Amino acid sequence: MSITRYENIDINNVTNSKNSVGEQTTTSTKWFTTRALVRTPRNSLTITGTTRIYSDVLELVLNYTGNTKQIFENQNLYSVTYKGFNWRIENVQETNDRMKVIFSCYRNDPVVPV
Amino acid sequence: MPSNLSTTNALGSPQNPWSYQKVEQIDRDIYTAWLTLDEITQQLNLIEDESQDTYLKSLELATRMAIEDYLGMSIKPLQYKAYYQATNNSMGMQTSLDLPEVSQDTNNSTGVTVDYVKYYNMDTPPVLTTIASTEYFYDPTGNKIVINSLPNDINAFMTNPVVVIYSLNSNPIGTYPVIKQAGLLLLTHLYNNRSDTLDGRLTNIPFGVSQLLRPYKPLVM
Repeated sequence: MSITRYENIDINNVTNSKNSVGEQTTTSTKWFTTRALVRTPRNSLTITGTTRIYSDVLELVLNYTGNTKQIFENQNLYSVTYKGFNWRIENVQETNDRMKVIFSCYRNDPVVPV
Repeated sequence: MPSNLSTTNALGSPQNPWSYQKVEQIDRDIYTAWLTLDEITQQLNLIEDESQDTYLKSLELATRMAIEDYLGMSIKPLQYKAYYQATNNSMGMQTSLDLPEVSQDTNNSTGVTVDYVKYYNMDTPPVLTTIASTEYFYDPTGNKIVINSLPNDINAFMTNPVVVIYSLNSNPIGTYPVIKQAGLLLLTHLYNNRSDTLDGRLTNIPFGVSQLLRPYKPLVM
């Protein structure tokens, strides 16, 4: 059953860099709070030979604004905080009339052994 | 049968004895925000997304003007110029000038300020001459200006030789939550529908802008 409701979300700036020992680091810093129509949240489980992979998928509908246009153009540089978790943007669609943008977001739980 | 409802002994003068012939809106506050950006961004689910603030401010002004025009009341100050006829009989007589749009008095402040009352005299070309403010007063009970006596040299050839310029101060209805909600509904409509044409067909919601504003719209008899 699909669920659609308005929820507050935070949009974060994502910075990728390397630390002193050469590890890749990702830093999220809050940019602004907004409210999105959250729809079709899905939680899927994939079991491979040895591990379970939990994967949550979320669709967020936002107004088309200067800020969401910026996210649309560089979606790798932004993430979403929703219900206390950090969601990365997998896909963004503009509506034809440029009134809305739809963010598809995903979040991977740690891989758990079967 | 004697009746105290008889009009023959009524005190005061009736309304509309001297109705305006023409009215012009000559000044209007088109800069001061009525709905706050916080209220608007909450309504539109933008919250802290400030990238459209300039656009939202212009929409807000359009919304406020639409509601002022619908109600015939000023949420922010307005100034009008009204024109009146004069006849030979009116010269030297006490006269009432009916005002087309008024704002109500509230919290001991007046809703209407009469900036000046002037008339065109018989000179050629006619000279717009000011009537001293001690010669008239605004009557908020009848929405009119009462002039003690009109001068005798009012131009007899001009169509509307008596001119009143007056200002409406902010009406208290602008602070009513129901009026603000109507403003937010209208603003949401304008924000979401930016084209004059549509593929589909829009329908009004129940208890929309018109229903919220209707009780505050004065009846025009």
